[in-house]
Amino acid sequence: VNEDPAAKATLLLLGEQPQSAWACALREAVAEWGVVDVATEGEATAAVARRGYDLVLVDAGGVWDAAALVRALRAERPGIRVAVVTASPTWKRAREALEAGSVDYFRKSLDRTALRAIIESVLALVPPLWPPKGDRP
Amino acid sequence: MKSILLADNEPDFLAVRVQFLERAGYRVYTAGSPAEAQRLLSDLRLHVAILDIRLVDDDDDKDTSGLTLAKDPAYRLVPKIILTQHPTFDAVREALGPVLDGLPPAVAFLEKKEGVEEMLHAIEWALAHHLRLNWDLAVHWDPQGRLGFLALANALSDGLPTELLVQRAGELEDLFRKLFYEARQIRIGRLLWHGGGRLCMPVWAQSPQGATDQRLLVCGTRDALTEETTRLRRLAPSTQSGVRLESTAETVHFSAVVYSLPDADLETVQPLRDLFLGGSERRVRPAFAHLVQEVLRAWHQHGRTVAEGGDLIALYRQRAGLAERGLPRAEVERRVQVLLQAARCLGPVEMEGDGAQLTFRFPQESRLVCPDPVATV
Repeated sequence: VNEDPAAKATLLLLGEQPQSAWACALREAVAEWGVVDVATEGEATAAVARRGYDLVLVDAGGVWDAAALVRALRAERPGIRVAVVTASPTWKRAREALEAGSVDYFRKSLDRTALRAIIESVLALVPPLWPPKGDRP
Repeated sequence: MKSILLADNEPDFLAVRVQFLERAGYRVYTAGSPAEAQRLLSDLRLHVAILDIRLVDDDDDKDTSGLTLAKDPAYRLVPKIILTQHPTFDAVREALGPVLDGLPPAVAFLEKKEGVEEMLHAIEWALAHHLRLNWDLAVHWDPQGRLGFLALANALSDGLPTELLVQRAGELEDLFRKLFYEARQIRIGRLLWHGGGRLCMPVWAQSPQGATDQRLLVCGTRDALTEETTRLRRLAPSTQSGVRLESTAETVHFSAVVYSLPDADLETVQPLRDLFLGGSERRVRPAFAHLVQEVLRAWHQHGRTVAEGGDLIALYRQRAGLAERGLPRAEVERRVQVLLQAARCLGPVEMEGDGAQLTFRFPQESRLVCPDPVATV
């Protein structure tokens, strides 16, 4: 955990309202070592172009197409670390998100301790080097 | 020909898929159990492995043997496609995510009922983006060198049965196609040296634009090469004139490293050992002078600083762990006396110590006087 406020991890949350229960839980979970910005799907690519976030979290339930958004973010900033979160995971959407280049796809949790643990583990993951997989035949 | 392993414990499914894959131009090996799949992954030159999650019992939701095999670090360089009749969110996440060292356990995840087209698409994707072999690379061997991939495999994997040696030779060919991914053609020169699970040869690589780079290639077993590159990255000087590591590549059994030697002519370069054994003094002397004064100097200065006014004895005591926990004088005196008494039984030598000197009197010889260690405490 980095105690230096200037060196805190930077997180961008997409597809959530700033005051939603999960956005608040996320802020509280990482408060000691991270700061969370919130943006809409429409603001996403401009936000990552402006700033190199340590982690971009895409709420699959709040965006039109999570996998397409992951591809767009990677096109804007190759090497960016993106993870998709969802309240109702399915294997097909997990596959789409991971094939698009997200480093993880995980179930939302309001448990601050569990949430902090998973965000810490996701921050340690290496963004894929290969391009996003194309559309299925 | 591109080789694929298809592992599934359902013989009918295997038979049908093999037909489609062979019709698409692939050589297909099949396995019906985890053990068989593991043996083929270890023995064969494979470009993609397709593994069913439940390789033991289709009705057992605890059976994740295919996924376990996909995670085995020994085969991490073979792109794997996970296949299942029972897809779940957790299985997808386990197979395709999280990437810890740059590679996930699998590169694609398929439900069995998705069909052959989807499988072929996943194979093509894996070959193009995860295996990355230069299939169009033209490889030319120096006619004087009498080398070939089979000869190299034999040199590195001595004692293997012929059928496995052929697989290793194919794997070495893949290694070169991986290493020279951007090149149009390469010419491989004579073997410069061979030993310790490694061998070395010059390679000239021509780009699609026609530019030729001369490189020194060392390839060998993965363990031997890992040791070499680890040492090189830790110890090599960052001088511009010396040997530079340009690229590396790995397969299941082999690794290779490509170096550039900016000042060398690789047509005439030879190992120092050969020069020493067969060269005249006129040629050997300047080579050794260069080795000691230029090459080794740079290596030994790497990461070191010169400290003025240092005390060599103090440094020795510090490195030997004597600086802070030296023995008390009384203990040293006791130990010296014990040594003297023990030495008396070795022969007719008279010994005495006075705290400053130890004197040894040998029969019919002059006496030997040494400083008493006690005096140095």
